[in-house]
Amino acid sequence: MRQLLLTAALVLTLAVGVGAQDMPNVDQFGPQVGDVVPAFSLSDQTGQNRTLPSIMGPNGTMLVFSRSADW
Amino acid sequence: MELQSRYADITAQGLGLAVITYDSVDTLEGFSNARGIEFPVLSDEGSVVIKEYDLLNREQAPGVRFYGIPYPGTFILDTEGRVTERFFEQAYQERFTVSSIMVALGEAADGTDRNATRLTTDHLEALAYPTDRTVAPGNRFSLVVDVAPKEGMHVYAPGGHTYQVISLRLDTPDFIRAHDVTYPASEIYHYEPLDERVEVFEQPFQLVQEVTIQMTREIAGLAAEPDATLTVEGVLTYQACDDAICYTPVELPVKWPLDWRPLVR
Repeated sequence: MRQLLLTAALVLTLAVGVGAQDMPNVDQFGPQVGDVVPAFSLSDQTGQNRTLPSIMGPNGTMLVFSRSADW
Repeated sequence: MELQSRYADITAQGLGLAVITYDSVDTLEGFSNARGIEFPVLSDEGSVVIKEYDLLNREQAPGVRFYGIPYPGTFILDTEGRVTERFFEQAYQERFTVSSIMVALGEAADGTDRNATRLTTDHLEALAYPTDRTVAPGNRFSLVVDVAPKEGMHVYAPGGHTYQVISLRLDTPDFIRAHDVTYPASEIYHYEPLDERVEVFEQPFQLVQEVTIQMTREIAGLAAEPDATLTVEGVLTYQACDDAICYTPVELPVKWPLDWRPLVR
């Protein structure tokens, strides 16, 4: 019975997955609550190199992924 | 840019702030100078980090201009780099306002300067205000009600009982989508005569109703009209009791007046 339920759940997941292809559910993308995010090293607008530790405040940080600044 | 105007509030919470886009350093330098941006805006040309974070927008095909943009959103990280909260919108045109994120993070919201409406009944005092005075199409922001039950009164929180839970019902036009109301942790009221324990609010508490304004050409046009305003209306429903009496349920009309902000491209 449990096996049958699992199969049913899987089929349902697949069906939802296909149906949602045009409009992906953004909740599934990217690091989730509890995950440690990947390290990075990027240049900021002044040419200074920035990493996760360098953008931290005493309680953490707000990291915003944005569309382009150009449009 | 909204982030710049809230930068001081963000740092006051002990948080750092950085934005990542796929633009070149030159583009970001010009943008930051033009807008007076004081926090780091990071250049992820080639979208390497965006891909590494699994945030590449899959609706944009390689070769077209916008290939490489991320699904826009905000992470709150602890000092170890662990995600404590994430705010992502379904449609790429939609985004959380910073003020709404700050309220969700538990910032003591202050209704005094935000088009607040004060409501008084026999049982409670309430202050209704939006997290943002001006809103743009695509914004996800919050309608807040601060409720202070009067001395000896309590209202009912969600829980395993049949009393009428305090709730908010919005009467919104089609272009405003209401999300679920966020309730704070409740208290337990012990009614000794029946030895009954019920989830209630006796101390001041806050209800937060997030809403998203849809982004359509029509709504953008509406927001661009001179002096355009928008009023969201709703009804706060509750039943209040004290140690002796349970009063008749109340339906209290609530309004959140807002100004439109046209989209800046």
